[in-house]
Amino acid sequence: MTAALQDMSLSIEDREFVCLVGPSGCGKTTLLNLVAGLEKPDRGEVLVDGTRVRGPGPDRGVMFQDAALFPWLSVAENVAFGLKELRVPRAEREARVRKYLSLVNMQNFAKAWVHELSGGMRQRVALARALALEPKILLMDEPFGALDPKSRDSLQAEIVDIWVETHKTIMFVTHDMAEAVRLGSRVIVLRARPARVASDVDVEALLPQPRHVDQPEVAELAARLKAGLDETGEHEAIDGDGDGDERPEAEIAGGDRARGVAHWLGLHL
Amino acid sequence: MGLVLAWEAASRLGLWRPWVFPSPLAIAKSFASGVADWTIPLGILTSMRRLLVGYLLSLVGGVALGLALARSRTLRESIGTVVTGLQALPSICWLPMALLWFGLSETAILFVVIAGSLLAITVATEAGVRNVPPLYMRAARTMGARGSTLYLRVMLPAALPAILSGMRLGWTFAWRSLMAGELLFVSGGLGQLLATGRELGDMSRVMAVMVAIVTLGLVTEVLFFQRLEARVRDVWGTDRS
Amino acid sequence: MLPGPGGVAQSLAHSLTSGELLRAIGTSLYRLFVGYAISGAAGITLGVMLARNAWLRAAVGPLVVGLQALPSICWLPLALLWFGLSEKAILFVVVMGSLLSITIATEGAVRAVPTMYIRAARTMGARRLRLYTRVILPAALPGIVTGLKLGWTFAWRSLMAGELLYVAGGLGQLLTLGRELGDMAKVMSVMVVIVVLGLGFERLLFGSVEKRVRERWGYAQAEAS
Repeated sequence: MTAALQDMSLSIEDREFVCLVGPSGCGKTTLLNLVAGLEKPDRGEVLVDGTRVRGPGPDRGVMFQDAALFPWLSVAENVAFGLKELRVPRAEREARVRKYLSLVNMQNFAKAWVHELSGGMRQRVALARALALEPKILLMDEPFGALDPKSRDSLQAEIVDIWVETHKTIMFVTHDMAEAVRLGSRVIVLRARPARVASDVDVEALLPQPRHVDQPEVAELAARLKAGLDETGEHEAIDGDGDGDERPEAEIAGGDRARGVAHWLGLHL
Repeated sequence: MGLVLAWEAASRLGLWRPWVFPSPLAIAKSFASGVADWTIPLGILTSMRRLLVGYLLSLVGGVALGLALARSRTLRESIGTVVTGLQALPSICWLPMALLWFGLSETAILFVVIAGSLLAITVATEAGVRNVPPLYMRAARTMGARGSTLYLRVMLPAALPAILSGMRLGWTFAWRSLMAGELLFVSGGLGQLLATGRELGDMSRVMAVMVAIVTLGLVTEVLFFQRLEARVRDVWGTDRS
Repeated sequence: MLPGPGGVAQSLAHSLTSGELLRAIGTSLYRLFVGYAISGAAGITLGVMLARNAWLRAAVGPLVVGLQALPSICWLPLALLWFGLSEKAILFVVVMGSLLSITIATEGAVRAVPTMYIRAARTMGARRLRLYTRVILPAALPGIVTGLKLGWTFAWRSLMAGELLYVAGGLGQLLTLGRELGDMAKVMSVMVVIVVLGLGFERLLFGSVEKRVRERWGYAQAEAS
C-alpha cells in the first residue's frame, strides 16, 4: 500500500473554479474523493467550511466520468433524487428540478428515460442532479472524459457559463491540460511520485473568461505548464495539447485502494 | 463445513427428534452402508445408464430437428408452435401417456427422459442456427463453400455456443425427468432408492440418497458442462453476460 | 392408442362440463400461487442477505448451490416424511423447487449493481435502508425479474411432479386418473390444458414485464444486435 498523497495542503476559496490537473498517479482523483467523503485520510483532515468531512453528502455535489444516472427513473426523477432524500417539499422540489434542467438546457427532456439520451445529454442531467442539491461545492471528476470532442467542447462552454451565472465553487479534475486552462479560474498542476503541487496559477488574472481551447494564449499557457512539469523530471505523458492521446489515469500507484495521506490546511469556503 | 458441524451439534443436543432431522453422522452412516451393500452404486449406475441413453438419443434427435426447423420455413409453420407448446409441458407430464403406451417398462422411462430434453435441445439449436450472423455465411460462400460443407463447417460451429446451452438445459431436464420417473414406479435407480427410503420411514437413507443425487448432478455439471462451455467461450470469443 | 383431435376435444368438453377440470385447475393454481409467493418473498430476501454478507455466503452459499442442483421432485419423499400426505407437503415441494433459483438470481443481481450507482447515491445523501430500497433493489430489478421468471417455471414443474406422484387433487391427479382408467383422450386433454396454462401464464406474467424492464434499464440495445 502506497501513500497517494503526502504532506499536501490545499486551500480553496469561495467561488473559485479550481482545476486539478496532472498525470496518472498524481493523486488528483484521490483528492477529490477525500473532499467528497468517498475516501478517508489516514492522517490529517479535510475541512469544508471549518467542518470535518465524515462521509459523502449533499453539501458536496459530485459528478463522475460515468453519469451514473438511474435508469429506472426519468430525467426529472433523477434530478429530484437527492431532493427527496433531503425531504424537500414537493412544490420546491419541482421548482428546483425545472430550474436546473433549464440551466443545462434539458428542460424538454424531463420525462425522457436515461437509455434514450446521448452521452453528452446524460452528463448534463448528472450536472443538474448535482446542482439541484445546491451544494456548497461542486466536485467534478473528469466529467467530460468519455464524450466525443464536439460534446466535450460544448459542455466545457456550458460549465463556464454556469459557473459565471451561479458563482458556485467548483473543483474540477482532469488530465487534459488544455481543458484545465480553458475552464479554471485557478489551475493547480500536480506531479506524481511523490504527489505534490507543481504549480498553482491564477489563470483568471492572466486570461479572463471567455476562453477557448483554440486561443493561442490558452495553448501557450498550457504548454508552459506542461513544460514546467516535465522539467521537474516527470516522465508521464499528460495531454498538453488537448488532442486526447494521453494515457488513461490509473487510480493509485500499487493498484489497490491506497489511502490518501493528506495534510490539509482546510478548504475555506 | 461449519454448518455441518453446527448441525451435528444441534442433533446431539436433541433439538429435534432424530427421525425428523437426522444428524450428519447418521446420514453419513446410512450412505456408507448403502455403498457397502451396493444399493447406492447400483442405483447410480442404473440411473446414469438410462440418462445417458435417453440423453444421447435426445441430442441426436434434438439437433437434427432444430436444424430442420431452422432451414425449412414450411416445417416451422406447420409444427413450430407445437414444438414450443410441447416444450412448455413439464416433462413429468409425459409419464401417464408413456405408461399407457409402454406399460411399466424401461421404454416408458426412456420416453419421458427423451421427451423432457429433446425439445429443449431442438429449440436452442433452432435459435442458434437462425442467429448465425449472415455475414459468416456470406463470407464462407465467397470462399467457395456450398451446401453441406457450408452447414458442417460454418453454420453448425457458429451456432455451437447456443446449441451447447441447449444441451446443458436438456441435460438438466433429462435428469429431472428421470428422477421423477424413477420415483413414480419402482424399477431400480436412485429415484427408487428415495422412494423406498420414504416407505420405510428411513430419513437418514432418504437424505443420504439426496446427497448422492446432488453430488452426481453437480459433478456432471461442473466436470463436463462448465468446462466445455468455458472452452467454447474462450475459443469462440463469445461474451456471456 | 392415439386418439385424434376430435376425441381429445370431446374429453376436454366432458371434463369441463362435469366441473372436474375447473376444480382441478383451481386446486393446482392455488397451490402454485401460494407456493410461488412464499418462495418469491423468501428467495429475494435470502438473495439480498447473501449478497450483503460475505460470512453468510461462505457458510450457506455452497449449500444453496448444491440444493439447487437437486431435481425439485426429490424433495417429495422428504416432504412426505415430514408433513405426511398433506397440502403442506406439496407446498414444500413447490417452494423448495423455486426458492433457490430466485435466491441465486437475486444474489447475483444485487452484487452486480454498478458501484457507480451506489457512489452517486451516497453523494446525494442516501444511506443504509434507503440506499437499498431506492437504489440497489431497483438497480437489481432486471436480474431479479429473470430469477422470478425462472422460479415460476420451476414452481410449475415441481407442482406437476408432486401432483402426479402422490398428492390428491389438482391437474396432476387428473392426469393420473386418466391413466388409471386407460383413457388416453383424457390424458391428452389434460396435457393440453397444462401446456396452455403454463404458456399463458409465462407470457402474460413475465413476457411484457420482462421486456419493459429490460428496455427501461437500458438492456434492450445490447440485445438488438
